[in-house]
Amino acid sequence: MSSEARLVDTAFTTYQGPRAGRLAAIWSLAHWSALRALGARRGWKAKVIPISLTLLAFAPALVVLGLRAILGSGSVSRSVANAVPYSDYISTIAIVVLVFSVVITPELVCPDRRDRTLSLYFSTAIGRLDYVLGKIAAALMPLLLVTLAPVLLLYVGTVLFSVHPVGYLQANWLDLPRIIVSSLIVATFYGLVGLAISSLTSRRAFAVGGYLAFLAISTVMGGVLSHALNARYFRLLAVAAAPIRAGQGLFPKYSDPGNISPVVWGSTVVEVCVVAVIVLAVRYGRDEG
Amino acid sequence: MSAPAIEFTGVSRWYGDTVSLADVSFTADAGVVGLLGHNGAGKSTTLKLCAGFSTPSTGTVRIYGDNPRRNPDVYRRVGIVPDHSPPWPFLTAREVVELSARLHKVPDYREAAARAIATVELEPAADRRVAGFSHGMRQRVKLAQAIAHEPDLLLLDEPLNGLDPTQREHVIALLIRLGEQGRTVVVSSHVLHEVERMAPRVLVLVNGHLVAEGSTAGIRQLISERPRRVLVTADNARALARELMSSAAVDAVRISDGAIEVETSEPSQLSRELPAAAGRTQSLLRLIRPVGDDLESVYTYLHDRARGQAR
Amino acid sequence: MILPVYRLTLRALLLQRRTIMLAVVVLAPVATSLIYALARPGGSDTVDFYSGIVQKLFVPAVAALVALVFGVSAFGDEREDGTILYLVATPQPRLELVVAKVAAAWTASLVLLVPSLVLSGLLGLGSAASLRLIGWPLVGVVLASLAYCAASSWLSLKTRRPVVIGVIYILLWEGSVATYAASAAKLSISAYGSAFVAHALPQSAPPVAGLVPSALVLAAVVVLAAWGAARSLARTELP
Repeated sequence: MSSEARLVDTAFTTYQGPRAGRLAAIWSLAHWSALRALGARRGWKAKVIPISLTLLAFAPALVVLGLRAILGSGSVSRSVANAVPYSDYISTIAIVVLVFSVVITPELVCPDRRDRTLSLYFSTAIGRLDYVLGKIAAALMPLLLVTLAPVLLLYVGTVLFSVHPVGYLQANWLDLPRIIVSSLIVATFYGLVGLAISSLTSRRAFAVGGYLAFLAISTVMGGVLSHALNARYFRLLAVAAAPIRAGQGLFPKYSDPGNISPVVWGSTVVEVCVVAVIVLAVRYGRDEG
Repeated sequence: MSAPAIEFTGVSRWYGDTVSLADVSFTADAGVVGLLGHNGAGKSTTLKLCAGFSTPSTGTVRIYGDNPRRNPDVYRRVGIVPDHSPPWPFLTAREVVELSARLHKVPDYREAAARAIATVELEPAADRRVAGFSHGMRQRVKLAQAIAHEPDLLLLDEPLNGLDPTQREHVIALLIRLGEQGRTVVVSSHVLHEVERMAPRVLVLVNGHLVAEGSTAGIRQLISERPRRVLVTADNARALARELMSSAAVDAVRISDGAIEVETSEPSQLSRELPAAAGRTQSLLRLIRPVGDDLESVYTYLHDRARGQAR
Repeated sequence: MILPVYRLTLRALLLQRRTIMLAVVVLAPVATSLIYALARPGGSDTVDFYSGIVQKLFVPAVAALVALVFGVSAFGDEREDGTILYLVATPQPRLELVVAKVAAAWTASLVLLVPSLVLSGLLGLGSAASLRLIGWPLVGVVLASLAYCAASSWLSLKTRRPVVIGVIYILLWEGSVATYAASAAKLSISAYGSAFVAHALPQSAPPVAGLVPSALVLAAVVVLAAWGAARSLARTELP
């Protein structure tokens, strides 16, 4: 008998190794869903839109920092630095964030329903709640990439370009939590609303249409009514602006153009998010594959 | 002479880098034709091209001498049963079949639909919506809508899928009958013995290539180099096996459970030598039966040969 | 032989859950008008409000989206479900199939749009409501939605992402670019629909063309799109 030979038993066996647990399952779902929505392991056509939108989101920060690098530390350079305040960054790129969320969120949930893989998920260690949590996390990660990351880059760059970096940090350290919280508000809002609308249909195209119709029609309704009735609170119907205005309200120097308190905008955000969560609960709480 | 029902001339079809069909030529006329091949061999592509649902990348497809993509009038003579794609779920079976007959310009479409529904034995469920149907019932609705206008050419992609044994028997009998009436019936299937029963003629596709066509027996004859196996049961099996090994007609001998399996490239020579060998070893022959002479063995052989694996 | 296909498509379009979502969309202008009717201060200009509803909300967003979704679904759903095979494998001329589909999508759109516009007009205009003020915008919506239905049916046979492309056209081109650049409005279906609205209501910008030229352009869009769709139907790869 030769000791160099061996027979490998390839018959089916149950997995006996260590198990990573529920959190790891959710993380894995979130991680792969997010990468897939961004176009990972797909053709170039699927990558073009997310990548170009991300670049557009970073463009103001890159332009400001680039100009400061060229101009040095003169007064012109300081006014360039103030051209895009942290509070206004997201509203400057609002349309990019909007289109990005419209492209990304249907991609996260519609194919699972269309290809009938939902029941397959639920037959594994991933439960209904885990699935929804995973998909919310999957929506947040790319959205933070276009909301939080560019503003953080601008902040770090500004610190590095300032004459006294430590002094700048001491004077402006509070801006950091403001940036993080306002980005989180915007990302959470667009993520939840996008997922809720996408969960209503298995066809990605109609999720995209429905999401845009919801945001565009509510905005026009708000504009027409507040103008015709001369009542500013109808502006609140423009739900697309709510998370951005609420986030801007965190910054002390900000004043709302429609003269509506950031707290009111904030409560609109909470209400819409609650409705979105209810929709998700209804759509994924029931037994349908 | 009128144009054949189907005429493929040098047809290739590729999708991106994937070649689905490579330089296939054949004609089909009256009778049942079986389309054989593994998954991805090109059966569905062939049927799609016949049905005018796809355009060949090169070559020409003619149905009764016409291009079905250019001239929809050809569809008057064609009935189609697709593999997937159940009919509209919100219609009843009768509505589906009547609609099909109407769109095929049958004057008395109600009568035609009732006849087709009766033929596939779907009368009890005819006025129920397709949405609530089992797979087998949907298959029968598809069949009924395809035969309602009494087409001269019937294209069926895996029509026996999802049918229970009784329904299979029924459909096979129906297709044989249609073939005998002089209609052209093209059937693709995985279930070889069923194809063998209904199709006097088969087309064998491997990896998009047409590797054989003709009657099953004819194909078998052509593959002369293919080794044949014969099962022999005899009293003195070991002695007979030893004797047979000395014959030039025998390639290999195997004994299991007292039966001898003889592999030969010269079946006729073996048929002469076997009784002699039995006489010499005083073995009483109880059974002589060819093994693997069915369509399945022929198909497996052709498939392996086309992939360069055959001996 | 258009009738059976027309009836089949209309049934398919109106039976979907999507129709309920679209009904919510067409309720938006009605709800806006209702809020206005209930809350409007005395002496406010109802014609100005109604004009805003029709020109900012109804023609460019609501009518366009509803017609787009029905127009795309008419062929798109059958393509995705594979039932299109049962229509294509018949001796029906391809143009007739397209005409039946577009007509069904148009009917479904009008079933939702006409009551919505009439109700919005009655609620928003109040005592100022007249046949002229509601009738001309209705003509614009009816013609524009036919053009949208035909164009989106063609789109659904031409590309795999018809709704996304249609939405980008409606919101970015018609809603954004064409409102700033007058020459861009010449390539906007809603601008020609608005020309009929302008006949009865005050406009912020001059109409892109007169009534007859607008009707001709919309008719040309319908004919070209139907012809293109029939061509695509004969060439496209079916499931």
